[in-house]
Amino acid sequence: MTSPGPGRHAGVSICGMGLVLPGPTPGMLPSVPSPRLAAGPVYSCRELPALPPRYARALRRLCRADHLALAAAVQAVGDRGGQEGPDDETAVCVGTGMGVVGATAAFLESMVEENEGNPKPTAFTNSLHNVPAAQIAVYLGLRGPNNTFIHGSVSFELALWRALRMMETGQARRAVVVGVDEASPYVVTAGQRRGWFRGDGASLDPMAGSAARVRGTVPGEGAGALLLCRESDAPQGRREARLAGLRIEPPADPRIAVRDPDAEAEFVVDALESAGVAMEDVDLLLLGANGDCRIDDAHRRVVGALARSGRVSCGVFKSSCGEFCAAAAVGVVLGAMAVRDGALAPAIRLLGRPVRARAVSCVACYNLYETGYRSLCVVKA
Amino acid sequence: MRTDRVAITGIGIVSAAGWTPEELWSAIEAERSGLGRLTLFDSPRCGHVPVGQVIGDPAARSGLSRGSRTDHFAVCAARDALEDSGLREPGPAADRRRMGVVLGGTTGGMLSTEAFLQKLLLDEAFDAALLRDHQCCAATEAVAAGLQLRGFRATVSDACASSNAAVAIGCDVLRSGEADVMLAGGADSLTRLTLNGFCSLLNVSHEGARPFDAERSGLSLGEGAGMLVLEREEAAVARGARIYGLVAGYGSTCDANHLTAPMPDGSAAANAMRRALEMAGIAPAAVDYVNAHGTGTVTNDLAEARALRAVFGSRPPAVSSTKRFFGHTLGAAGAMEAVVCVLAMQRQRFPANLGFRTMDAEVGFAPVAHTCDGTIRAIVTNSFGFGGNNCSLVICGREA
Repeated sequence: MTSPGPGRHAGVSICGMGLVLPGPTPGMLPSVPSPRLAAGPVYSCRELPALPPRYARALRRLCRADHLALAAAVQAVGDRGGQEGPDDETAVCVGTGMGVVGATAAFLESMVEENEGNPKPTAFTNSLHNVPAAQIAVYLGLRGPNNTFIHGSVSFELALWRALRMMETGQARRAVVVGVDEASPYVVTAGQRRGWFRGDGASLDPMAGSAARVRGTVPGEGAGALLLCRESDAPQGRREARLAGLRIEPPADPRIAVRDPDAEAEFVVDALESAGVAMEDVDLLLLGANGDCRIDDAHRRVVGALARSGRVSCGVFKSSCGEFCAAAAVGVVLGAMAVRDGALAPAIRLLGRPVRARAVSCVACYNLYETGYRSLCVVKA
Repeated sequence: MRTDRVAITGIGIVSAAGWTPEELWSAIEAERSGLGRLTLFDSPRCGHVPVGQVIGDPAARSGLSRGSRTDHFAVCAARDALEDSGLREPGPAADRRRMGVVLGGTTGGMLSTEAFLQKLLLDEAFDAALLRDHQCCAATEAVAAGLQLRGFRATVSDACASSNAAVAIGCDVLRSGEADVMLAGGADSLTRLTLNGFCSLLNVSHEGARPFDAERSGLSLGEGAGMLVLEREEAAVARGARIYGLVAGYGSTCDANHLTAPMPDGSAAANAMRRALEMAGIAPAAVDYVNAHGTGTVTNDLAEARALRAVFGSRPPAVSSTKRFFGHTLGAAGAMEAVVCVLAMQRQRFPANLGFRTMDAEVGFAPVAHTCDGTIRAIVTNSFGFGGNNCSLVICGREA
């Protein structure tokens, strides 16, 4: 297996964070265009988050994914209020697995049902994958580089990677990095047909699923955002989280069941070492387990292999947002919040007792995906 | 981060004007447009407008057992580019784990998704197989699997600036030492979504795009793929590779102004070009040729002309838009035009701005009317997209 990144990103501070999470229990999607489509259950944001009043006119033009992404970005950046001039030095990097599904579906539905009679231009322009990134740029006045990654489950990690590279090379001074995906009956139904999603209405309980041999997870939606800046630019006098390392690795063999747990544990330890972190320094290993027994088993085997060299505290987060392509953003933001605050947010569920009682100062977010991709992101105080 | 120079050692293209770089260049020399009648699907509303549809069977050519039309284009162009670079066959010189792929795209498997929706909404049938290759990253994965590229993989979707961004990202991957070889490019197929979408915006020309012409009336859509094999120059020299030229610089900005309309003064686009030139260490006066984004819409061409004047002054270098040769291929446009730039530099010929007849006083310059001889050492190639995305590349010879 290749190791695509040196992994160490010293000197990058997380200056702001934003998080938009759905409700605590899955529910049914309100609008379904065909009886052939499943309506739920889905972890969805029943009420979209409020945006500052000056965005009121924009709201009618914002699609669901745009709204989620912009709300998270505004939390991370702070509402610039339209007072400052354009910012040429801040990049926007968005990762989204599915893009603006609702707007795309709306355009296609009208095109098919009306036999191309009256296609709506706004629905077309809203269907582009990069619309959330563009809306963030427009409303926050960010004129730096603007990239959208659409690479399945590692879309957010690639956006984060890109932001780090641009900061390292001077292409950007700061970066807003967002992971976002919206729930859609098309995605839910397609996922159910392929056995990825359950339709039984149960809540998500990651790492408990193996015992019950539950196949499939529960879909969700949400957005997580980080404002990255150079450590030298970070506000002084307050506890900050730093992005210490990131590694993304494509699969040699996409079959998750055949992954060698020792090799996976080696991937984790090696990625940590590249970030200048020893396994014993990690206060929390935040897992991307999603309640599907295949995914949970794979994570459990890795934790077991890691535990041979010492106990490790583990937690999960997808019980708070469901599963979606860019869900790693939620994990990384929750990890960064834990490091900033020195304590875990309620959205993180600990597996067992914490190994150490000290304040949280290092969180590693580990994801092993259905597609065989894996990633590790390290956040330190 | 290393600061190695990045060499182009292989090129591949699939277009309405040809399936190989040679076929495309023949069309450019003959000033023969690839625009023609749409036969790929029925379109009651937009079927009459000329498009750059690729003729031939991409599935048969790609050899893939499954995949979208976009995937087939991507694999064909990628395979040709890798073959051209001499890295097609696995060997000691090519560690596949150190070879990656980054593609830009916007439509992915949308053609099949449209068929899925047709079945669902009109026949109440849910045919999940039609969604299998929906995502744009399917093309990246198909290329990686088909050519055994086991390293870095990414898919970027920045509207029509996607594949210029992919080339920039590919260069960053090489410079960070995360790979030794990067296949960078883009692929997109024609779809009902994009054809109807651009028609709904009243952006499509009924007679074929005429970029920068005073009577231009819109763009012409196309499809295809363009691929570049990128390596650190030092490594390419060490293995005795043929080097077409260098990707010497790249710059990206965002208008942050409007989802579809470009910034009228072209200031953010100008900044993208300035950043690319600054990275390349090349003064504007040293640029010999600009391959313009030049879609043929009134507002885009005007904004780009203003951007060019802001960077190069009132007398810019030779400028042409080559979109009438194969249409505006959206996420593939930047990479396909980068291939055109490589061919132009290799042959020391300026490609014609096909369709140009009358100078637009507001544009303020006349593009290259006919393919002709020129001295080409440094090129700027632009891609601008919806969402206000601007990405410029500087391609130059090793001695520039």
